[in-house]
Amino acid sequence: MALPVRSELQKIFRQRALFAAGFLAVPAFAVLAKIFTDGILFARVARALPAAGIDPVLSAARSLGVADNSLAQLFFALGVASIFVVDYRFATWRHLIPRRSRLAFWSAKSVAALACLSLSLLLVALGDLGVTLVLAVLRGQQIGDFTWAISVPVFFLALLVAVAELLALTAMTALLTVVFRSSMAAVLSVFLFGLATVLLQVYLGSSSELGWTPSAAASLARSGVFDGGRFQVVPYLSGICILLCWGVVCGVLGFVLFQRQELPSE
Amino acid sequence: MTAIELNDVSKSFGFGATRIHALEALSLSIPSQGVYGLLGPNGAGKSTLLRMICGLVRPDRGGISLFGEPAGPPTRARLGALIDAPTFYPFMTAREFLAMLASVSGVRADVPALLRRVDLTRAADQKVSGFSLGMRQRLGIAAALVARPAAVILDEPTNGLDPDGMIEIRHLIRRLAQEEGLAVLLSSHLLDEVEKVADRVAILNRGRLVAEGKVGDLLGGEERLWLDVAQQEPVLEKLGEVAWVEGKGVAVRIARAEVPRLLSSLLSENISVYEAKWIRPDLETFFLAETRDSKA
Repeated sequence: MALPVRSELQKIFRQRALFAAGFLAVPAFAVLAKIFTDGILFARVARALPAAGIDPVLSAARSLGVADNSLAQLFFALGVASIFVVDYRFATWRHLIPRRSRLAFWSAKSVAALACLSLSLLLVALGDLGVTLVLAVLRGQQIGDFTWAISVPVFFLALLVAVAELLALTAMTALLTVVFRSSMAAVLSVFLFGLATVLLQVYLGSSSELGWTPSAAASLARSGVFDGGRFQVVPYLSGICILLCWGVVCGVLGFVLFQRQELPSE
Repeated sequence: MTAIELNDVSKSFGFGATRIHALEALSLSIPSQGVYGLLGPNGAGKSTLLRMICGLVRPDRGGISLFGEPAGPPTRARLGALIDAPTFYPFMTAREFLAMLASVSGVRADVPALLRRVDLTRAADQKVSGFSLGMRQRLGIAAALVARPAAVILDEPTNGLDPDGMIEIRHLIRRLAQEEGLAVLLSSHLLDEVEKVADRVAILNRGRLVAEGKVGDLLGGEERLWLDVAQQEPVLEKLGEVAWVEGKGVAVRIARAEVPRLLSSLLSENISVYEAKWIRPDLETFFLAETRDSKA
């Protein structure tokens, strides 16, 4: 199992433009947006205010909410679809299928996609942490004054939500890539689905009616971490469970389709 | 023991009026050593058959065994295959591609030796996207051999190669079978090529097996004398069942010793003979006869 994962990672790393668009663009935009918004705030207001109360880890935890952004999901879906579509695009299944079981390739692609997405989330968090630290130091705060330990559990809880949300996104994108054998069709479908659920949520004004959608489930889980000042187990676990259900159902469905898929020409 | 065995395998594509029967109740046994030629006109079902053996396409009916066991991932891992046109990741070099396939197969491959074997050493670190058709074909053969398979499936392996390259690949195929003891399933349109290297052949037409056996046995017919004559009818009348029209002339089943007498008797009856030559049975004639018969 370990060896196909390495080959999948090698393939996506060698497609530099797709790797950058899929997994580096979101961290880059997130850091730029952070610099822009916090920089303006710093220049206009914050410089004059006392530096107390800045928590870089909590800020990094909040930055992981980028996984819920429709535009970020479009880029992430592009990266995931690139991993799953490569052997259809270049008709190379013929070299691979006789060598291992289809389950090994499906798992390897899924693991490679999740590893790249985790790297992306890590870069988002590190970027946010770095920008927050730099701006705080510019405001005169000492590194020793930061309250790191308090927000570390919050960071890991938020990371788990983001990973679960991207797991659901990965499984859905993989399923659609197998169905369409095309990354564009899969990416657009995932994007439109995500956008539609967000719009419906806005229109209905409450996530309760649409609690089953990945976006609402992620919001529910995040509310358990960030709202009310203390961790709320029920909404958090409910959200995570719904996201995992999406991941498992789409993942199993995608694998079953792939397992039975005829490849008379890739 | 057989390397590849197909029992009553059928496969169709499409639905209703557009349904195409790619293979119909096909049974074949490919020995575990030697070169087995697979022949057939376009659309005969050769590629479907090869893809089915490799697990890319599932049979609708029937079963496939590899090395005495039902075909599955563990037994397919002992196959090496070059199917259809060779395809690669254009962003990888030849060396990287072979190393990647070796790692996927879980074997340690001597990639430089493999590249030497297919004469790609100088292009080893070039991206595959810049390869000519011949170079891609050679890399495809190397890819089929990378995991030290027990049986190799080669679909049109000499496509795009120059005459020297074709001869080299032919020698490689013979070496694989004779010196390394592999089973080679060779599908080709080049009947001459198959005749030169294959020990047994199967001819497919419209998804059905129309002939199968040792090359020598299939071509076992006698040599025939071919005559280009001014008028065919008197010759056919005179010789009866031993003569038939073949191309623009008349073929005669006759012993060598009888030829002078036949020619002088034709001349004595004022039948002009412009050309007379011996025709050895070959795979092309046999193939055309078999595939035309079944078309009819």
